[in-house]
Amino acid sequence: MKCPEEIVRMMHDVLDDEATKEEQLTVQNHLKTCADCKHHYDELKKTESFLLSTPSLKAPDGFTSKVMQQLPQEKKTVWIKRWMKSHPLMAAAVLFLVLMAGSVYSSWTSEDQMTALSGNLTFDKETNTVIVPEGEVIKGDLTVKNRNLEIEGKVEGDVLVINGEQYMASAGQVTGEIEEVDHILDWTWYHLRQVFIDIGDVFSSDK
Amino acid sequence: MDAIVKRIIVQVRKGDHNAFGELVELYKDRVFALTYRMLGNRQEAEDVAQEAFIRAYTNIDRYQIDRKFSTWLYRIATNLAIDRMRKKKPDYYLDAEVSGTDGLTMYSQVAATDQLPDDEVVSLEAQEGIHQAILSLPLKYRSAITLKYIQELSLKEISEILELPVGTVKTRIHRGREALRKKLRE
Repeated sequence: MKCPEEIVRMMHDVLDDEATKEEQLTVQNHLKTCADCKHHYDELKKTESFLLSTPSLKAPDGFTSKVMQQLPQEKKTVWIKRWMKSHPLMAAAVLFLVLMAGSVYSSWTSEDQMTALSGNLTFDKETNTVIVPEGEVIKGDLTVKNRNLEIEGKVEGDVLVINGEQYMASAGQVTGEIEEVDHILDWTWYHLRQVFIDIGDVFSSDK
Repeated sequence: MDAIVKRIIVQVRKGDHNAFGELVELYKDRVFALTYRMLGNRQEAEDVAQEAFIRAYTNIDRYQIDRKFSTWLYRIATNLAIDRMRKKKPDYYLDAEVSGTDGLTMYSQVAATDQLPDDEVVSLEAQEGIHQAILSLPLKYRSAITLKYIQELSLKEISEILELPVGTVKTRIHRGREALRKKLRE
């Protein structure tokens, strides 16, 4: 007797726990009446139990350490790239600081100078001092670098002394702020602050 | 288990080599069993299993953390094993006639295996028999049968690993099981 192929498919579905209740019943009833199919099913069951009884295998000794030795060493550039991808803001900040440091350093090491928008200044070579003479009025900000500054007259603006000292005579007058920067860190800080003040100005002038 | 694995993977992604070692420890036996059942040779199985872990490490960023890690790892291992099997051509066939002889095949050149105590022979023979039977299956049935019975995975997981519809996986398991049934009867 040739059994319908459908029965074999259903037997497999029963083994896979994929058969419906109906199919399970159909298979059970068929197996009771058909010796061939019963034999077929028993063989499949046996095959399955053989397969499931295969001993679990262990990976060879030293497997993990062999894998670890073969792992690619992370290249620094890869690491940096990945880091930049995951921290874009930090990357921008680092870039900013590097460029900033470059410009600050170059301006720190640049030539001695003094700037003022108007007015006459005198310079005493022996004491390396820039003097705002008595009665003189400097209009605008005054910046002196790598020199001392003595104010006997009047400055209508801010005064900045870089890497030097500042003396104020009793008659001297400064309408703005006086600032002394003696160290590269101060200088950096001063620059950074200027940048933020500028940024602030940009935003406030927009309004 | 899943939570632990996910925590480890987060560390691996941060570049922690040692965390990856923990992952290897967790999965090495199962990955090795998979490649061994598919390739049938310990040395090759070890090579492929190691390569699978190295691939997993280098592609860890591609793993989607909300999916099951084992599924992803088994897919890598299965694909590598299938590639290896496709490249591997048997060097000789036992049935082939030895050149220069008259009707003598390679079977006559194979030494008889040593005798073992009786009970041991039975279980070893049975194990060896099922192992050889799996290896004799065509590639597409072998991978499905191995994943189902050696790894004891669900049809759905197998379909994800092999990237095939569940229906196809079912058919392959049915046919593989039929083929094994006939082999084991011999």
